[in-house]
Amino acid sequence: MDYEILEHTADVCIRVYGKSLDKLFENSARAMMDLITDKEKIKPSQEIEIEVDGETIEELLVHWLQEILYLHEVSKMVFKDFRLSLIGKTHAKGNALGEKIDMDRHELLFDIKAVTYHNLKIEPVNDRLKVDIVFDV
Amino acid sequence: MNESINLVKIHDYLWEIPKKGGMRVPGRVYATESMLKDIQKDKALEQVVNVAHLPGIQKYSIAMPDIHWGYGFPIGGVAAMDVEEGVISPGGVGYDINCGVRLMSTNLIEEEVRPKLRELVSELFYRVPSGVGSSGKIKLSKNDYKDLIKKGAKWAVEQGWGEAQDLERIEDYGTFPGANYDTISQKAFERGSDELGTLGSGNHFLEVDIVDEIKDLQVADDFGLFKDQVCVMIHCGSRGFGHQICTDYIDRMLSYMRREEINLPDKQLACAHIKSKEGRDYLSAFAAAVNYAWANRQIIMSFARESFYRIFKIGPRDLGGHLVYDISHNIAKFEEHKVNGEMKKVCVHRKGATRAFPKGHPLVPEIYRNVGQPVFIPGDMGRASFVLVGTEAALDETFGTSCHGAGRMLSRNEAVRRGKNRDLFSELERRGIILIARGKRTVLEEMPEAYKYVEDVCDVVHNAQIAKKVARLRPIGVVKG
Repeated sequence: MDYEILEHTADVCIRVYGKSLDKLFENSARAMMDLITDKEKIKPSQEIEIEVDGETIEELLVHWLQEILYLHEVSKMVFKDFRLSLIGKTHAKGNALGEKIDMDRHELLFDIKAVTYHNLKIEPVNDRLKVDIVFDV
Repeated sequence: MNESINLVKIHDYLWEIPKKGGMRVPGRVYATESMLKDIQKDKALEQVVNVAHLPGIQKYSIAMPDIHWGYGFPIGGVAAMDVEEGVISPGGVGYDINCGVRLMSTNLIEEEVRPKLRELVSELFYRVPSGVGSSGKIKLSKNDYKDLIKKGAKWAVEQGWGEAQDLERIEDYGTFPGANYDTISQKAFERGSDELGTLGSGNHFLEVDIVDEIKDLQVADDFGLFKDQVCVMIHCGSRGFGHQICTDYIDRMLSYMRREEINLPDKQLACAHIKSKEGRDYLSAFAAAVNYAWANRQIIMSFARESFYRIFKIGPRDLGGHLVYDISHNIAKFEEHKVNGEMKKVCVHRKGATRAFPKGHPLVPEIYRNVGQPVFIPGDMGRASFVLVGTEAALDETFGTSCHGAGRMLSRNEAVRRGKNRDLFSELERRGIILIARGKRTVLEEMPEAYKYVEDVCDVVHNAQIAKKVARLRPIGVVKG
């Protein structure tokens, strides 16, 4: 299991796992997209390149998710999958595979206003990395 | 359960969290003993304690009875900062900058509206775009933006959405000073460019309400409210424009905090000194979002008026359609308050909390200066909402602040789980409420049982005298995202 939804009274919180930082970032994006819509119904017909910076690894993760959220909202797209490579701990390059939103096929479930830093900490658990992310919805 | 946080009873409706560790001031929570049991189930009180760590905080880190677990600040939190030494925290305002509620009264009574209620709610649903990712018909150019972010609701009125007298009934007359185009990112402009005049989703709504019970006849009359009257309540904010501004500035402030070596228990409390470049820039961008939200609610009210004209084939004079007031419940305001016996300028953060100034206060718009400021506390979509009025006690105790809603009790997922096999549309209809919504999931998340009963919350502020009940409203038509 790459992620689970945790209980949070007003907002939405997810717990994400990954074998490496790259995978943790990719799984976080997949989890966020699962909250937004049913990924099964997305055709990966377009590829968008994403490049982000951050002063810390946590900020880099938040920026990566914020960038996807921004593309979703402004370019009106939904994404099925993601690839990412970290370059050092302050820079990341990746891409998102998806298509334009088609209201007949894609039901939008959550309007995520923002990715928050609330209690956000990347930690090793056994042989994996773990992070809890709270979204403002 | 959060048993490590000690609570000392001040009176039946007020509890204090004594200063401990890095807290600069004590915490104060307005609630009954039984409410406290629920509040203690999640991390809301921990957040009250965290906020007490912020540089320049005055008197208390305050929580209203609708307090619940947020991120950074609790929802239902109030904190006033010294203007010279203190900080401004974007998280203390929230992502939805100037999210708020406005109430429009009409000349109509329930029996006049009932026969065409479904048509009316459908028309409102059609005219006011709502739902996840809703975009509207208004497209903002760069020049529109430049004007809008400086003028707020006044801009909307100039464009033909509403009347000049509407502006007399909005906090700060609907225009917040200090917006600066250059402090706002391109992303924020892009996110907001097609969202003006839209509700959004989540807990935002547009309701047709009936004045069900008058609690204070004189004040209700001064607000233009009477029993059985039809009103419209609108709850929304600054949409993606405000969300992006908050997002951008939390990042800038995290850098600032590293540079200035400010350490706080939660990164989401990111802040900068009010006097710093980062603080000033945030306040300029924030002002723009405040104005965006006011224009948004002004335009939506204008759409609501047009819906009534069309369905009931009446004109403005017959409808009435007067704005009662427009309140902001995610906001930071520079105000003078009494601290240690002396008047002092502070920056009051109200995150999920409503200003509640008494009569006579110079910041209450002239039209209500002899009455006091109206306060709106929306409840859930099946039960009730309240109109209250600000008090002297609020000014003394809470920097002139009251609560903002019923407060969530169930998480969104829990609400969806419990509501899975229910048909809320039919359930509400049997109780005389027409509900139209874009998303089924949103309806389950927002089901009445997901919230505390709003009257319990209003009883606390009424009994603690930080606002006084004026009227109870009940919904008959609900538009949800």
